[in-house]
Amino acid sequence: MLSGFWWLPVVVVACVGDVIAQIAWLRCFPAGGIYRSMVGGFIVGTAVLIGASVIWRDRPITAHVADLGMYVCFAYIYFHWNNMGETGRRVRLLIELANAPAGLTRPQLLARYSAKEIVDRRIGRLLESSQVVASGSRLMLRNPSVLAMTRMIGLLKRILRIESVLVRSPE
Amino acid sequence: MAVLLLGPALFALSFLVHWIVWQIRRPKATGQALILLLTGTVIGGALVLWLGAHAAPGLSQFLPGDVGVWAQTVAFGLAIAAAYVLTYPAIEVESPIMVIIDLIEHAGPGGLERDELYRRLDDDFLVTPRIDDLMSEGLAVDGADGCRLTDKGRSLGRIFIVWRNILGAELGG
Repeated sequence: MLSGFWWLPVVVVACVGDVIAQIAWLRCFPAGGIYRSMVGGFIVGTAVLIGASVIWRDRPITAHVADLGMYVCFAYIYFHWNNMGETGRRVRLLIELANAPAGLTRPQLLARYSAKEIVDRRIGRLLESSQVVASGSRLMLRNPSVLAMTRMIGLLKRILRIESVLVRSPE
Repeated sequence: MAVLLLGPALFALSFLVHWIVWQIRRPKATGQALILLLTGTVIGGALVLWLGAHAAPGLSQFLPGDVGVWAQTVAFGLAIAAAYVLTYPAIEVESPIMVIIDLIEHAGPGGLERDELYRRLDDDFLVTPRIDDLMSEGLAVDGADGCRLTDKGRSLGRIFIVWRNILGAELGG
């Protein structure tokens, strides 16, 4: 009966391999940044998954494909978890408040974390990843991949009927 | 083959239920509601099919044959659902990076002035609604001497602080 559960250790060791490799990568090469470490972790986790699938290969191919599907879902979730810490506004506000046990007024919070900082950080990331280019003080699109993601999120907003500036941009 | 088809099908069913509920009325605590709804539908849907296979043996040829494959099917459906739950905040609230990309794209080939982004994406658009979210989710309270974290908010904040320390990462945002 337990033989039906071989998928569980295969997926778990791949996920653990991804996390350990990502942390080790970031610790060894901090200048490379968190996103590159996540790509490194994903590659190592995939290699572990393939290795574990070879060891426990006496299963239908569809079971192996489902293992891969679950691992990709985990990697996507892990990416979002790290991305929340990296870019999440609520997470940043939580950390600012956690570091100020006496509390902070709204103006104090805004002085520590303002819209200008949020915009500057994101423009920096977009320039660094060559999604946009700067010509003087003007910004232009260069790579359409984030635009494609934006369109997909806009579509989901439409399907769920959630109002958004992405659905109707301000003029 | 059942695991490959049924896992995503169970998620598709849960997405349909989510869409119907959201058309009737979007819950206030959307994150918690979404987790309960998707998890309940995936597990409940699998349970109904499992019972159906026992009631109508002809159905069982299309369904997983043993408990291990059933577990893998449900886990696959839940994994897709979890990935969707993590995507959902970007659907519900405005992601600054997506708004920036959208505004630059709408500006056309000549591009957009950086100052225009500062003008449109101000504190009232980017920060104040997120502070309000902390209050409505019970993570913080807004008192006479300012905003303070609740126990729930302090625990969540500590998790992120510890995780960022493990990564050796600086303050994000």
